[in-house]
Amino acid sequence: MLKKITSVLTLFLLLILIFSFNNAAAEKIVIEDYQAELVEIDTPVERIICMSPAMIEILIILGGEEKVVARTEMDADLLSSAQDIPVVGSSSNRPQIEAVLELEPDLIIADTMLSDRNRKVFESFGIDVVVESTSDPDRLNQVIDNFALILDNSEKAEELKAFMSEYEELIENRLAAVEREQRPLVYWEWRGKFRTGTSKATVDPLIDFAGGINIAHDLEGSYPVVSSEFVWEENPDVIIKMASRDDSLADMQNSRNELMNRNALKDTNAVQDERVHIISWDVQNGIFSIIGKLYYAKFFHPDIFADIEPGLIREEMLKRFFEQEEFDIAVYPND
Amino acid sequence: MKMKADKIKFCYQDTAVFDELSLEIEKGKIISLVGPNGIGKSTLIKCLSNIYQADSGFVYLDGKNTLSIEAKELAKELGYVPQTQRNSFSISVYESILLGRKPYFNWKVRQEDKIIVQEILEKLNLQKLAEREVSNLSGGEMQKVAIARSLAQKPSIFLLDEPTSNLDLNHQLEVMNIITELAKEENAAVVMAIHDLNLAARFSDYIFLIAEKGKYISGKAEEVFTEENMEATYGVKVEIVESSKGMLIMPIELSS
Amino acid sequence: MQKIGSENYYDRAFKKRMIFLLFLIFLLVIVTIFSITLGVASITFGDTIKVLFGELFGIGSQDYSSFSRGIVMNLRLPRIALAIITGLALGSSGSIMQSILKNPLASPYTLGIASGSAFGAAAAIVLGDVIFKTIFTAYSSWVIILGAFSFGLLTILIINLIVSLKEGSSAMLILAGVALGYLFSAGVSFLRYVTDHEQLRELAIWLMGGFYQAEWRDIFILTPILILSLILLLKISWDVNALSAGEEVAQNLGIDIRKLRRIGTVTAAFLTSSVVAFTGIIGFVGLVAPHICRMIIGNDNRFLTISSGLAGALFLLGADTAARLIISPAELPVGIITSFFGAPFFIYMLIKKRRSYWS
Repeated sequence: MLKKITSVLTLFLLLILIFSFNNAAAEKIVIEDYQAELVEIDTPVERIICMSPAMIEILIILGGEEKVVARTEMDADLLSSAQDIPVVGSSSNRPQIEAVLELEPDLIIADTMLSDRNRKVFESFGIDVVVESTSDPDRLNQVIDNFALILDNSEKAEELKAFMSEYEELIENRLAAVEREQRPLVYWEWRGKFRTGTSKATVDPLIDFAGGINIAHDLEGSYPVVSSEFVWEENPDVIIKMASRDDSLADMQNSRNELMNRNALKDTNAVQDERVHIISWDVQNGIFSIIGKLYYAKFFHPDIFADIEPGLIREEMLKRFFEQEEFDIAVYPND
Repeated sequence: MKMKADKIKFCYQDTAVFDELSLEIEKGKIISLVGPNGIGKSTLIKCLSNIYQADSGFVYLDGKNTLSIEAKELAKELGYVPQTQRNSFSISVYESILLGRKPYFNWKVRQEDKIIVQEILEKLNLQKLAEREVSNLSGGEMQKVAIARSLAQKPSIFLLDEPTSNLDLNHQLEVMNIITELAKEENAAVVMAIHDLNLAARFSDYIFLIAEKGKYISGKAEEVFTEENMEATYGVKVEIVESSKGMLIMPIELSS
Repeated sequence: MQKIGSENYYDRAFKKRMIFLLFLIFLLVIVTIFSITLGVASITFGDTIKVLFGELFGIGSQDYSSFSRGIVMNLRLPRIALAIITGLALGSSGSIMQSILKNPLASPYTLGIASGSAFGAAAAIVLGDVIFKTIFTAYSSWVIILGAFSFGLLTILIINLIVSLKEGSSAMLILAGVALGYLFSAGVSFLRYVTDHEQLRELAIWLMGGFYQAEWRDIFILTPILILSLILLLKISWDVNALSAGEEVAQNLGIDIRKLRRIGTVTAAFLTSSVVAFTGIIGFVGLVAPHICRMIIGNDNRFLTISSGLAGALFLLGADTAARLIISPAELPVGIITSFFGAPFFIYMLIKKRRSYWS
């Protein structure tokens, strides 16, 4: 009998405990970030420092623009409204620590370049730190969900995810019937001449998803410089080169001309068939990577995606989620 | 103090420089090592100074094998004076002489050491140079500083390597006078390797001629410096001349 | 009496050296105070001093904010301490290397030891991640120091080997050091190619040295290493003095030259490697600091070693403070500042004393 009373009493006490805990935790949210850290955040969050341009985009979509008090350097002219936010460093890797602390943020959002040491420093000042990745395509939806939780705006998040998954499914469905032999060989270039990306580069899954074969997939390292003979021998069907964030149309034109006239590439299928494309970073990272996927898919399989206009989809995205009416060029040639 | 080298052998890169070499030195006496270039005079001096280790044979101090004596204690008995040389980092004359006190203290310079250095400065008439850098001195002055440093070791045996080479007549004489005083006043034994046979003949009690490998001739100057020995050793016909200050060895011509 | 006049020479020199030492310490304190009160975060001079007294000595009114305490105690102070420790280490090991190798151009940087250590540290990170996956995080600092020291030691062994060759001249030694330096820098660059994104982040410090990552943990590890090494270097300093009269004289004075050279160079390499493991390569400190001290107090290693260390600390702390302030709120790499001063000084030395340096 005594045993029974005790157990009932215990249960009762336990319930009280759970409820009181729940009450206290009503203003707290818990997020598991990309580094598998459980971050407990007091809401509402008022002051955010975001050290990743791609993540600022997501914050803005979710209505958090007012709350971002500082950012790191970003030269994308895409989001003109974000240009006025003060700068506290070049990237997550080298934040100006005292300047960050001086702004007394509630939350710091950074990418994986943030060092463990700096994360510890910020946390020692009572600032919550969330590290996320927008270059990992599998992570993107989780990032949006996490930010939606922080900004308490799940509605917009669902809308954004739906928009992206619609086109992802479209690509997947149309490419389902494409055999491996039908996939074009792709040579992808970034920065200097003959610097490409291997299976460890973030572009590799993108090429694969869009129905191409990355000729550098099996090479060592992540972004090695390869021999011109290697590219010549592989004879790619498509060549893609990344434009810098602040490249003008003329810069992109020059880039393409240089590729078309480069000796080692002259005889490749890509140059012969004029399948050489310059594409901006802006459509390859974060939420705009869906636009990049659409462009890549159309580069690789122009007939299958003849009816798709990635440029227009991008404009729609900018209008709908950023209320932006001015658009720059993301690819060259733009047909 | 008495030094004795017993059948020592020294090899340089597997070839013996000298072999079966025996030598005895007594306090208050000066011995000159003479012989042609490259015969091993400097090497012998270094073997006796505990700089090189003989490959076989031993050196004894008062009958005690030098190998059984601690390096620091040995440094208090053997004062080595090298041929003059300049170094990258120069120190003052005072500090250079103070280095001779190395075997006596580890870090802190004692009052006693300063007094000894001061006495030596005065004795060799170096007071005015005390603050000068050694590398800015003339060859003669540098030689005196090197001797002064060995004096600071308070050794019972001085070993000098070519103390008069590169010196003018004036300095040659000054240095040889200092060396003579070492033997007399300090009652020390002096061994010096020297090229100048006339200086050797005039200032030493004994001559040790390394004629060729394994052939050593020792004795008083008159006994060693004979026309016959000189021709055999140096390949030069000489004439021995008597002067008021002793014998003179005059080279005449190369022997055919 | 003349006796007294000359007798005073040693005491006078001694006094001059002690005054120089005290002067360096005084300057270092001034620069430290200056450096600790300057920064992007707006904390008043008064608050900074209050934090220092309150946290370090537990005295004075403790009415400062936790923000001020955090900035001063967790950001600025460890960074300043690391700069001072690194300067002490590089300056004193530079001076002892010069004296032992009898080469005025010797320093951790010119002999390639810093590059060797940086490569060792970087290799420890990259390989350590693969080999010691499980224990790596807990002991990472020590693994990195071990890696740095192994290659620092390897470099000094090669250098010693070159010295022992009869024909090894002063110029040859430095050229060999420069070549080794290039070799190891290439090694670090190679590691950059074969590692992935995550490790690259950790390698950044060895590609461009600096103190911005300073933590108290680094200070706790380095301080005992520094103190023990300095004691050892001071202990052998009188013996090292004897080397200035030539190796043969030193031997005759009862010194085991090989042992002395071994102890001196290995200690200097260890000291260099330890700091490089935390700061990466910062050039010219170990070269400039000893020479300025040699000009002022002469070549007595009993004073020179510690003075060079202090001068190195002063130089590095000044350079790092400048690096923090020149384009504030952004920062310059401290190596840019030290090279701006160090490289012209190096060239000046070559021209001024070229005969004795390249013989």
